[in-house]
Amino acid sequence: MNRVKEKPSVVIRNWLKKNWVGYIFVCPAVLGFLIFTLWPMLASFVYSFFDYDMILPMQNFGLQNYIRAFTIDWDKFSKSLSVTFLYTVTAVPLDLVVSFALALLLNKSVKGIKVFRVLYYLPCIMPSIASGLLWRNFFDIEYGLANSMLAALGLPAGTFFTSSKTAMVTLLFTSLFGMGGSMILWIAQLKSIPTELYEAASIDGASVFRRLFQITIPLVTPMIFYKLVLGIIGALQAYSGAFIILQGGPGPDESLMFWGLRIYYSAFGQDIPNMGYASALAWMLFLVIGLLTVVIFKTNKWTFYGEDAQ
Amino acid sequence: MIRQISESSDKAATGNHRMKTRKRIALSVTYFFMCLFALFFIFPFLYMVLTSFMTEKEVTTLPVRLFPTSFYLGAYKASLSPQLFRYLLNTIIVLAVNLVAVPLTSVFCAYGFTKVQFQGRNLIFAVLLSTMMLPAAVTQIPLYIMYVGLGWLNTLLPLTVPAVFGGGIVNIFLCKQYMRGLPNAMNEAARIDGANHFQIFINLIVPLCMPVVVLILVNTFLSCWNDFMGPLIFLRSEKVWTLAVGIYMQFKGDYNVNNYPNIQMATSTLLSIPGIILFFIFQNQLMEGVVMGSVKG
Repeated sequence: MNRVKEKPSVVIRNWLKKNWVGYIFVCPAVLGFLIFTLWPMLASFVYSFFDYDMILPMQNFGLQNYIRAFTIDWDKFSKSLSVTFLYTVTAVPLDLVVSFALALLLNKSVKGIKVFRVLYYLPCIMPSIASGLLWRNFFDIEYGLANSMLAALGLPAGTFFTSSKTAMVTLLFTSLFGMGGSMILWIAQLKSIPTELYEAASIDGASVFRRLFQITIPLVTPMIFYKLVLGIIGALQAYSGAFIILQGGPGPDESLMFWGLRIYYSAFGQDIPNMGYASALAWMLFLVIGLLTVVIFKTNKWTFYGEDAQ
Repeated sequence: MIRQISESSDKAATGNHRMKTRKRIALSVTYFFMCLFALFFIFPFLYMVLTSFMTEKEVTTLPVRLFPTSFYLGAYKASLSPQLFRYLLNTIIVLAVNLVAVPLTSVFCAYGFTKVQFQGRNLIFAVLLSTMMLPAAVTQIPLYIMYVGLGWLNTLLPLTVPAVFGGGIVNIFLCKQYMRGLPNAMNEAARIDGANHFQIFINLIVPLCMPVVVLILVNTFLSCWNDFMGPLIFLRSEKVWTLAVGIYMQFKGDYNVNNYPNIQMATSTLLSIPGIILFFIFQNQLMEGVVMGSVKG
């Protein structure tokens, strides 16, 4: 009887006694989350319903920022949408396929293989400022090495980052050099496939392609899924690579005006910041990312999680 | 009978020989492609370093070449300006705080999430982990407004204070992955001997976590050294610029006397050196870390 009707203070004291050590240990991370993530998140949500320029206090509560994106700013906003989605649907598969192919090439136990892996990974540790300056110089249409090389081969000069037709392709080309990071992940995944499977398959006379499509690829589907989710999340918010190469510019005809860059411009890129509109754009981006992630998880019937899961 | 055996072994020998030649050809083809792609991947470095040794005249004479005609160091002399040392000093301040705070707090928090039982542990961790999905743009704007309100704009505080709070969920996750591999029996033995969690943490766990601490140190160094968008937004005045922002601003705009490709590439080469050195020392840990931070969870 007594146990059931313990005083609340005793219940709290017992609860604290049991848990306080854990809370002390995780307290920095939880405080960090509250101050630097949750609070800004909520604040940004609130800003998105107001006009706010950081000079006058917030005013005019309403949906005007969201409406603006689809009415007077629709031309600009839809441009950003198409640039961002074009980049996502090209960069993500490109990364998946190329880095996987590289991993297949380097997943061998031959002499010097480690040196090759290091060389392939090297561009990933280059500071983004250094690689930005590098590509800016390399693809400079006048004094860039790229056009001098094309001329030496007798080919016409390229327009690279100076034409809306070629800017995105050029950006995707520069992204190829970052494939080493994904490649390392693939190699680790490939190594976890038991070699007996391949031995059995080659005794049965399965060709290289059959082994690839019926053993390797099904067994790496968890990694494909992981890379797909993170790749899409990353690609939808990407803009800093192009930002550095183009030194803050949106590219010719806004051909590299990513969603993230549009947010940056609205908040930090003009004399009078429009924090309400920028927050609304940021929240819409967040919603799209969240929705896509849910859809990918819900429609995931193709991932193979080992025998136990079946 | 004997003849039969020798015949079949002969056949096997020629078959073996054929197999060997085939394997050798396959191996050569593999090496050929591996070298081809290796050339592709080191090309940016090659281009950067070679251009940094060119003269102003060489980089502005058409056609532009890949190899310099002489070993010219003028571009390095020009890039080592007094401003660069000021940017370096600011970067070192940011690094110093982060390199101490990030490993310390992330190991501390990871211990709580791995080895201490308390109510809501998994839920809290899941919530923290889910913030990885949140676009930086959502939090950047209110943080900027908050820093303006606190008077932190144009100081190094926005780049240092957050490090004290857990050091980022990615690092906590890395530590947690590592700590899961440490046997619980040891902890329990220490508890029976009367040690509390804080003593266990300091005396047992921290020394054992050194491999993952090294990984976090290197990652933290690289991310602070390369960080660009954050500093660009929070540091609007030249005296607080870090290397990444300072160099970006220095070379913004069209080519001029102080802004030729050779000087840009010399500065970029200098900027890349610390990362490359660290990478070559810690390449195994770093590459394992890339894997550890992903799917093993």
